[in-house]
Amino acid sequence: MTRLFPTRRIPATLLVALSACASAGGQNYHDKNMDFGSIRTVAVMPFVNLSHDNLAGDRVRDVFTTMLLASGSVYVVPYGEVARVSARAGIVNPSSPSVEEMIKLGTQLKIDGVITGVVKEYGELRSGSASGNTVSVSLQLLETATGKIVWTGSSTKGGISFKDRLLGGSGAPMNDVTEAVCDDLVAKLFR
Amino acid sequence: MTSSPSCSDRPRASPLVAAVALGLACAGASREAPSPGSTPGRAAPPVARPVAPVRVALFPIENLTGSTAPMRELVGPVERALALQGLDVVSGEAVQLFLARHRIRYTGGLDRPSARAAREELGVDGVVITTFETYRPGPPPRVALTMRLVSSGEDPTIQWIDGFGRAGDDAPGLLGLGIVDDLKALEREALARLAGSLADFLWRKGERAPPCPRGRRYRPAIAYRSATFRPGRDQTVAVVPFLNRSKRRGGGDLVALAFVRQLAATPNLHPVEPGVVREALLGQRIIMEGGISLEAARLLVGVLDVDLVLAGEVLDYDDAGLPKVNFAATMLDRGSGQVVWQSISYNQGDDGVFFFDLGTVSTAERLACRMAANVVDRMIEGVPARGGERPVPGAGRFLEQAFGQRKAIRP
Repeated sequence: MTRLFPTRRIPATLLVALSACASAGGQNYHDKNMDFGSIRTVAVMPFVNLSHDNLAGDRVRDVFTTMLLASGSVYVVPYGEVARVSARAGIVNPSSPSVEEMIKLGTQLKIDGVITGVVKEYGELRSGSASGNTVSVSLQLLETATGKIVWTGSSTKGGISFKDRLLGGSGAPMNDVTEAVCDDLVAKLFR
Repeated sequence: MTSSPSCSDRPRASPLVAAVALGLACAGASREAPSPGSTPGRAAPPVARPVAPVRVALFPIENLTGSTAPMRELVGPVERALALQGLDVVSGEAVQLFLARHRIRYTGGLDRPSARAAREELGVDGVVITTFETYRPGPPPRVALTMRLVSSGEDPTIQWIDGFGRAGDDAPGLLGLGIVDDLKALEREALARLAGSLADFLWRKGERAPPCPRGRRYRPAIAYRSATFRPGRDQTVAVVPFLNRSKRRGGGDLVALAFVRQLAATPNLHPVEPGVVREALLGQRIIMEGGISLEAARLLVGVLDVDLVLAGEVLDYDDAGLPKVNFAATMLDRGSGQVVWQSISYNQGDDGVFFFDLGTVSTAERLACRMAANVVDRMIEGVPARGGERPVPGAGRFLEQAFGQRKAIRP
């Protein structure tokens, strides 16, 4: 009897450890009361860029928007239209609109949701002789009717792998890492 | 006064020319004219290319190289290359006076009033627009350019378009004997190739828009095509200059031009002459700060009476060293006012190259052309070419007009 107890504990301990590891890859929040099927048209606002690459926000936004369109689940309003309406509505900072501004955007663009985002990292990491590209992005989806955050997700991909450290490689190309991040975020959005 | 393009009104420069012209005019829809002097089943002896009875104006060369380049000095070689192919070229003082009279400063396209005036005052059948995209002495020297023939008259349309891009070390060969160090040699090669391509088109031996080579590695990374998009229908497309976020000056215009060329090579999508699009953008005071808006698209559609508007943004257009191009293309539909196509493409010159630099693309122009070709291919995927060959919309009419007008121009 006494020997059985620890063996029963092992799967539970493993499960806890695995779930802890899984959550370290990126956070995700879904509003449980939200009907995501009602969001059919969205606007992707310019992303806030905290990286050293001046165009990182545009690069990630382009890839994410095209992936979102290619998913066939939602329609994304062209950037030019978003920029025009934002300017006309007098939105000071289109990257992070206020609740009032968002409701105004929703009415003028006839959209159900607004996606805003932050590019936290977009560049090369170095460690000793090894290097690798890394991209880290956080996004949130806001419902235009209420201005509430209904989904948030973040993803980080790339970096220096064991193989790179061992063989001195430079990791995956930046565009591939960007695609991987956006793919991960789109998957999280529809999960 | 213009003569009607009947079989009896043919040029009479020489019996050979008259015979070919008669054949072309009477052949109607036939695209393949027999090579003059060739005998089926036997290698044709080298014969002088007969004079194509088409009169064209050569506009000053547009400089999209992103730096200073001797564009004035290049007009002479371009004129000579065209004349060598037998074209009747109007250039120099006559064109300069015409441009000054109409206060035309932009020579990278042909708008409607200029096309009308060119037909009436210069008596030309078309205008040759030349755009230099790269012109670097090197080492290695690099030359890239696009040339197109736009019909004059009431409706300026692209009749022919082709491009050429090469670096001196593209084909080094054994012991580097194939390396070209002289920029002028590359320039001559480029102009001879393009003038030859134009002459081939005029003699209905060549294509209207020779397409760029394809390759799986140049396919768009991500693409979306709306279910409502029907590329099988005949549709006109206005390609607006892409928003340029790259460090390269004119990057947006260069990618837009690459798309114009590839769309001209498709069976169903007919690009509007960029000069006419520019005229509409200026006329309607359309400014596209963050890309094309629906309002701008609606205005363009109304003014130009087009079915689709293609816009986009260029994030990288690097042609110093290993070329690198990154762009997004978006197409808006007239009917729904929605995005019917969106794609992201990024490549660099050594993509998919593993052994001895084999397959490396040396100029950004060639890279952008391949990428645009692949985007357009994906756009029209599943659309069969008519009769198994690429048609030449309007070419027959253009050639008939050109042949027919010779009588009026040369009494």
